[in-house]
Amino acid sequence: MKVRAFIRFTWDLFRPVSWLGIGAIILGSLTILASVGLIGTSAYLLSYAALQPSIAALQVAIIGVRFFGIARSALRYAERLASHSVNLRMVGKLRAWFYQQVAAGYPRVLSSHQTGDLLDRALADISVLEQVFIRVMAPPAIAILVTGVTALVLALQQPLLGQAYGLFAVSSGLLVLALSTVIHASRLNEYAADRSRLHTWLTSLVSGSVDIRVNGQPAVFQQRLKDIQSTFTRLQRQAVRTSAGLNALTSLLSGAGMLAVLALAIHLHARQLLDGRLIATAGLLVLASYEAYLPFPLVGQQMALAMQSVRRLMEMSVSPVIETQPAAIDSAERVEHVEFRQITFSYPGEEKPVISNLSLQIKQGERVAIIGASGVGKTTLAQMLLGFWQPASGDILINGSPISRFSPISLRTMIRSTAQDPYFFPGSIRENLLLAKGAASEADLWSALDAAGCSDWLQQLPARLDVEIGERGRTLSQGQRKRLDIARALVSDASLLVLDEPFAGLDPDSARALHRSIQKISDGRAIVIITHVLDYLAEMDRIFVFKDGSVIEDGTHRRLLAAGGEYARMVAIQRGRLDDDPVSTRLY
Amino acid sequence: MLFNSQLWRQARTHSLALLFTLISGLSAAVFAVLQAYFIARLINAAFLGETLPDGIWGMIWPIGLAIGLRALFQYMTDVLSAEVGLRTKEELRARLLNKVLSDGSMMRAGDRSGETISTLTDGLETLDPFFSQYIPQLLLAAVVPVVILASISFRDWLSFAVLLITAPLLPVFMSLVGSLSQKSTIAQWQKLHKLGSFFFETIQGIHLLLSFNISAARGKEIQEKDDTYRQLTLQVLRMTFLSAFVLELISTIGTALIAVEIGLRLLRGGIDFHTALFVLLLAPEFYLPLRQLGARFHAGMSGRAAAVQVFKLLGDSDTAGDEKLVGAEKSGQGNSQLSDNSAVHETGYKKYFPVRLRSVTVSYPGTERDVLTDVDLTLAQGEHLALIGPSGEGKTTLTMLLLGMLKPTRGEITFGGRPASVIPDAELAGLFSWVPQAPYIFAGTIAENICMFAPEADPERIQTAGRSAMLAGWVESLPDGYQTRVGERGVTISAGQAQRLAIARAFYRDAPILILDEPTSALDVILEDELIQLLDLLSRGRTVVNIAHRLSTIRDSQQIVRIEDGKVHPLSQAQVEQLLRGQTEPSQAGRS
Repeated sequence: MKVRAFIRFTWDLFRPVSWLGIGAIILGSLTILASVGLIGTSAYLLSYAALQPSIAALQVAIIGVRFFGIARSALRYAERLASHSVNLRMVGKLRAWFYQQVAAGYPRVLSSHQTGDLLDRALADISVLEQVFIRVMAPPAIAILVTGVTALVLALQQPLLGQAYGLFAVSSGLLVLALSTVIHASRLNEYAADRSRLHTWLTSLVSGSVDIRVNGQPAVFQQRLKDIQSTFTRLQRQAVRTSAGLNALTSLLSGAGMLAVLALAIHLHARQLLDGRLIATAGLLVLASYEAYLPFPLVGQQMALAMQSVRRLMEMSVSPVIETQPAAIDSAERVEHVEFRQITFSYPGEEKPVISNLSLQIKQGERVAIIGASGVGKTTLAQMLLGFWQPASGDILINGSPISRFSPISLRTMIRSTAQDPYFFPGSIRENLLLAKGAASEADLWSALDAAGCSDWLQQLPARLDVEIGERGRTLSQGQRKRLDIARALVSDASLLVLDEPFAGLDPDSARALHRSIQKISDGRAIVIITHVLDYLAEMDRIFVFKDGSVIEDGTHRRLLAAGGEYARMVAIQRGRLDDDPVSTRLY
Repeated sequence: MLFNSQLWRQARTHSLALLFTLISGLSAAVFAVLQAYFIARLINAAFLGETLPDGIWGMIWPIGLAIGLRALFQYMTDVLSAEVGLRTKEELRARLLNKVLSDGSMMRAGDRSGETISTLTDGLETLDPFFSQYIPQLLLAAVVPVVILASISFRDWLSFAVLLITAPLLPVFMSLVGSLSQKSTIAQWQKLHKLGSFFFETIQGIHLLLSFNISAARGKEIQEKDDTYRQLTLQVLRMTFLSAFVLELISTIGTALIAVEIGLRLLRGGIDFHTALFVLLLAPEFYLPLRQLGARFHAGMSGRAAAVQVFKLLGDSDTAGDEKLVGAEKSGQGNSQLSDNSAVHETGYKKYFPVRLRSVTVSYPGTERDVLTDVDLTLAQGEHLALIGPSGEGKTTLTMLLLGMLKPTRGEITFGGRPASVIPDAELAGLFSWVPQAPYIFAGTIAENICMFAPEADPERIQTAGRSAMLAGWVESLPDGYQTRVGERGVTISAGQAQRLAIARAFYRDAPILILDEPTSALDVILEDELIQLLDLLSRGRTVVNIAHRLSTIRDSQQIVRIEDGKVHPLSQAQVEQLLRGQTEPSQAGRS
């Protein structure tokens, strides 16, 4: 089953390039056959010359030697280009397939609320499969062709010689291949577990280095790393010995194969069944042909790895894609009213619902806040609005229609959200902003940037919007990333914006400026702020207090304070002994 | 060039393993020569009817033995050379980690930790082939052909000359082709790298692409980029494979030359068949090590690039760090009492106070602006100091200075009059405990996380620390109690529990100076309030440096300073009172 799935998977990748692939395999075989020919004709030349015939008799052999000598390198060059071309085409197909899976199955395929672990593993699996033609598929095919042709050449001289060689070569090849696949496959899990243990520990040593330095004893951690590392090294050493052993076995088997053929040839010659000149030719021919088996130890290893990768990628891609009935509404509408009606939701594989029986309403042009402790499902609400997750029970209504009637595209045109940890593509700020709305004018960009409090800082840059922000926007501070992400949401035409923890990571001046900007947005968009802190809430049209997966109270700042419930309690705690009523008690 | 002194020094630490690699590689070569000799002899006898002392079949055994021993020495060569790589990785990993644990400038920025982690993991794995394959092969390529050549020289001077002349052509042509292609490829490699990472970036940004309705367009773009990538790669490979082409060409033409040359001499009786066959068998063996070197060139070069990266991270001062860390075991084991520690603290640690910073200036290497300029501060024993001010202006840097993880560029820090520079790291580290905004939870048990994996930790003391941090209720509800695994693959813990765990760490450690780096800023108010009470308890009797983010956490501070633009502005008594009474907007307090 495993093997069949693997074969089907690689075959699907290979089929579109099969002609080129077959060409590459033929070129690969010819390359090795050229050196078989070179050594074989050379041996024949010497043997013939030893009988001291006329020089004319040697001409054919001399031409053969020269021909094979030059052909080999040209063939090798062509073969490498062809096989890399096949590889690259298969990589393209593989990536396109994977992207489709991810785009169709997101977020279930990657379960975004978990760590990036799954994604990293999938990407590593893809890199393994990128080499599958050169490392796994081509070598056995080439070996079959080379062995076949060599056996045929020998059989034409003496059938027994060809048969003996073919039998020996094929069985040695199969032995090495089977051994290497089985041994490596049996160790893959242990190796992966140990590798990830080492990686985990290294990550924690770097990420927790200050904790270790200040609160712990570095030597203890160094010792622990040493222990984990030596286990891992032991495994790697084992792997190296296996490979070295299999290489030595291959070399031993090729020597033995050559010796067997040589002995047989001598025997046949003694019985006058073989021309004496062919003794050396046969032996050396065979020796050269074993070049085709040199990659076999690696083939088994790579095959074991590739099979594991295929299995994992298939598992990931078969996770059910919940397809609702065709969406009736495929055009963006203005969001006038959003209602969550008794929503319950839990993440796949988790029992405890993060949202249970939650109801809330948002109207056009309102500014509302959803407050509550961090990591308890507030962000999930935004994800549901964007159609990434569907509630287990309850209804979400937009302008009175169930959310399932809207296509994801129209939902994501009507509603935009910002992220707690926003993602940026490498490139310029302009490019990243234009992702939100390709047709945005320069003035649109600047007014969004202005509203998000970015313009002062950007005006100072010589390159302004064309400044490159590096991988994941790493040249930007957290605060700058947050504000650019908000600007990105503002650039769009969405009529409902969800800002996830917009103030976290901003210093008070920019937080206050951002707060004011948000207050100033007056184009009728509804704005939802998700936050775990109580700052800047006084002017909100409505505050929903989120606790244990549900909204426990809602109202304006004043009304909630007067009601004396949970919100009032939190505010009282935050103010501490202060009698006054500043907007914020933040010190920075 | 190819090597720098650090790489050599690193390789030389395993000169014994390299020597054995070389010896076993040479032995393999010797058996290859013997194998060729015996095979030639066997064929010669069978073909030309020459008699052998033990008959024709008596020759099979020596050949078999030579084949077997050759394989054995090949195995040993592989294993020994791999050992060099394995040990190098272990050593460099330990050295890098030492550096990470001792150098504050490496911990400073979160954005660099990802790079450090990938260097420690994948970087070192990429480096492996340089030490395990490239260097041993380089040595073998220098020595093995000489052995083959020498053995041929005994039998046939003319073939010896042909090989001797063609051999130097290999490196010459290779470097010629290499330098030709290098010019055109560096720019292309960079372009390729950018194209290659497009796919990974796309997958990482999938949420954004879907939210912005541009996933389909991006999908098309992936295919377009893949086409460009393929075409460009093939262009580069056309140049890159040229060097392999030249290698193959010279070695096959060399072999062909030898074959024709000895064939013609055989014809005229200038050489005997046995010798001719022997030379023919050895000619490919002569070129083999050089060809293998060529095949490993690429792995070697990327390994070298990775090695350079590792040494860059290590810097040149890493050996000094090693020695200082060795003595760091004793810290944090001192006092076994938890409650009422004030008496011990006052007497035992008196000599370290006051802590004083005198016109301290810090700048990070490579940046022009000072992070802190001319800071003067005095911290008396038991005093609580609050640091306020905008983020990114040097508050955390100040605490790193105290902790000894950053050295001042100018100025001096003294503990009870002793300059920090003369106090051993271990002793200095023992003075502090630290509760940050996001404490790191290690993969391990709760107990291990509280005692920070100290061997022979007292379970009693761990539980006391847990109780003091109000962890007991939660921990006791878990099936395995303090032995419950947390962190990676353990039970998930909330931000509040993580923070309590960090407080338990500090209780367990029981150090005289407590550094609080906004420990509650990521929590909601109710949790924050609970934790502030715990922190008050923890602060009692200790000297505290508190990077504060809320007013409620600085009420008990005797000294409040604002850090902004790298400068320290102490708040006057009047300013403090105004602030605490709410008459100043908190974020403006102390602003001049």
